[in-house]
Amino acid sequence: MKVTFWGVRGSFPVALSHCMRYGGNTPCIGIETDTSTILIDAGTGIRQAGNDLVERGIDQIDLLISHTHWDHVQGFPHFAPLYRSGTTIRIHGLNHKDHTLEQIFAAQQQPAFSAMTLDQVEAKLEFIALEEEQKFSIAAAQVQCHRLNHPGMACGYRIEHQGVAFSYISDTDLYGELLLGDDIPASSESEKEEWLERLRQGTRNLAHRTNLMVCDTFFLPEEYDPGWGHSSPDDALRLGQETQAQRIALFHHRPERTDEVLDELFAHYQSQAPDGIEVLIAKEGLEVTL
Amino acid sequence: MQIKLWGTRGSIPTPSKGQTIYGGNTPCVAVRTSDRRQLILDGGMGLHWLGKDLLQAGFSSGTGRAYILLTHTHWDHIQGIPFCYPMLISGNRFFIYGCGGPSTSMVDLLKQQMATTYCPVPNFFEDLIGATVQVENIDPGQFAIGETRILARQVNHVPGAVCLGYRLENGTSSLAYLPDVEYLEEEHRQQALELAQGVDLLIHNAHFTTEEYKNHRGQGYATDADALDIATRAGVGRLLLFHHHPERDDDAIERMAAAYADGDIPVEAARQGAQYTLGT
Repeated sequence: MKVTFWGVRGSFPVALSHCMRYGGNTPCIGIETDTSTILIDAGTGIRQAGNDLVERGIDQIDLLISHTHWDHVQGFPHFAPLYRSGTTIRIHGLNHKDHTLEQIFAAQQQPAFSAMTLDQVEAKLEFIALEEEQKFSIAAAQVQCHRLNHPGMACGYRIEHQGVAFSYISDTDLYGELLLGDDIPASSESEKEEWLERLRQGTRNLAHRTNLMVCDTFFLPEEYDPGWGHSSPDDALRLGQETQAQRIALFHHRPERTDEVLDELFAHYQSQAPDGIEVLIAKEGLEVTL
Repeated sequence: MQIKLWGTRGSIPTPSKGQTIYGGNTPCVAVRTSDRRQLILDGGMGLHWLGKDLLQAGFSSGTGRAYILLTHTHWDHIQGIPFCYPMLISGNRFFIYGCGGPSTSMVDLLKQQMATTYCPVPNFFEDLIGATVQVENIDPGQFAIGETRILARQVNHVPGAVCLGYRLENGTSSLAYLPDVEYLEEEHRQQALELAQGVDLLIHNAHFTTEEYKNHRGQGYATDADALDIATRAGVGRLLLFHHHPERDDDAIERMAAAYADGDIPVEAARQGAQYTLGT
C-alpha cells in the first residue's frame, strides 16, 4: 500500500512562499494498492492528484469524503479525471440530515458558482451513501468508516489490504466535548456521555494497530478552542499510544503555520514520541509505502 | 488610487512551488481611494490576506468600513469571504455589490457559501453575527462610492453566470477591472472597450494563450492577445495580464508578458503583492 500526501493544510489553501515546503493545498491523500486507487478528501490537493491519475491512465477511482466543509471538497470541480470519458469515480461519504452527499456536491457546481455542472462532466459518477459505522470493500481493500466528533458530522476511515492497515482521523476533536450538530437526539448528560464514548471507541477501532495513522493536529495545546472540532499533536500521540499505532502523521496544518514553525513542531513531537511509535509530519509530495 | 494585488490566479488557489512569484491566491484587488475609502475588487482567496492586513487599520477595533465589488459568484471570486476575519468583528461595516445569479439573489448565494454543510465559520450575513454586512444587487450602470465614480457593465463569460466588469474613476486616476471575459464575437468587445477607455491601468483576463484558446473556445476566458487588443484600442496607460491559468508556472507567466516588452503599452503579468499608485 502506497500513501501519497497531495494536500495537508486545514481550513483554506495557503499560497505563500514560506509555506511551500510543507505545502498549502487543502486535504487530499492517495492510497494505492495493486487492485485499487483510493483518494481521501477533495481539497485543492486533488487537482494535482487528478493530473497524476490522468497521466497514468487510471480510470477507476474511489473517493472517500470525510465531510463536506470547503477545505475537503473545494478541489473537486478541478479534478481532471472528471473530464475523461471512460472514467468511473465512486464517491463515498455520509449523507446529511437534509441533503444527500450528491446534492451537496451538485450544489457546489451549480451554474452560479461553477462553469461546469456535475451533469456536464464526462466521467461516470456514482455516489455511495455510508452509514455512520460501516465496513465495505473496494476491490481487495477492506474499508471501515466511523463517525467522528466534528460539528456538522465527519467520518474517519480505516483501510486494510494484504495485512497492512492505514487510518485517516480528520477532522475531529478526539478528547473534547461532544460536537454533533442538531441531528443527534442526545439530550441528557448521560446520553451525551454515551455518544461521546461511542465516537471515541469507534475512533480507536479505526486507528487500532494501524501502520500509519493520519491525524488532525490543527491546534497546539495552548491554542485549543472547543467547538471547532479539531485536535492537537498531543491528542494524536495519546490516541496512537492507546491504539498501538506504528506511525502517526501530524496533519491538517493550521494556515498560520509556516515551514519554519512546522519544522520546530516536527522536531518537538518527534522527541515526545512514545516508545515504538514513529512521528511523521504530513508534507505535500510525501510518499509512504506500508 | 493605491492598488494592491492580493490574488491573481484564476479558477482555483494553487499553492505550488513553481508559482510563488505570481502567486496562487484567487482574485482580490484592494483599491484605496483619494477620499480614503477601502474598495475591494472580488473576494477570492486573496481576501483572507487582505483581511489580515485590514486588522492593522481599524478593523480590529470594529471601526472599519469597506466596499466589495464582485464581478460574479464563481468560487474563485468569492471563496475568500468566509475567511475574511474583519467580517467576524462586530462594528465593522461591509458593503458588497454585485448582480447575483440569473435566478438567485446575490445575498442568497453568499449565504449558501456559509451554510453549515460547507462552512464552520459563523454566518456573518445574518443579523447580530459579526460585522454588519450589507449586500446590494446592482444593475449594470453608473453609481458612486464616496468620490469614486463606478461604471459596471455586463461582459460575456459563461452561460449561467452573470459577470460584470468595472471601471473606477477617482480624482484624476482611473482603473478598469475585467478578470473574467470571453470575446466570442466582436460585439462582446464593446463593453470592455467602454470600461477600459483611456484608463491608467487595465487589469484584464489572460487565462489562455492564443494556441491554448483554439481548444478552449466557449469556456469564458480571454487570451493575452485579447487583453492587448483591448488595451491598445482603448488607449490604456498600462496593462496587467490577470487570472493566470492554474497550471501556468512563474516562468511561463513571465514569458507571456515578456512577449510584449517592445510594445507601445507597458504590459506586466499581475503578481501577487504588487502595488501601483495611480494619479496623485
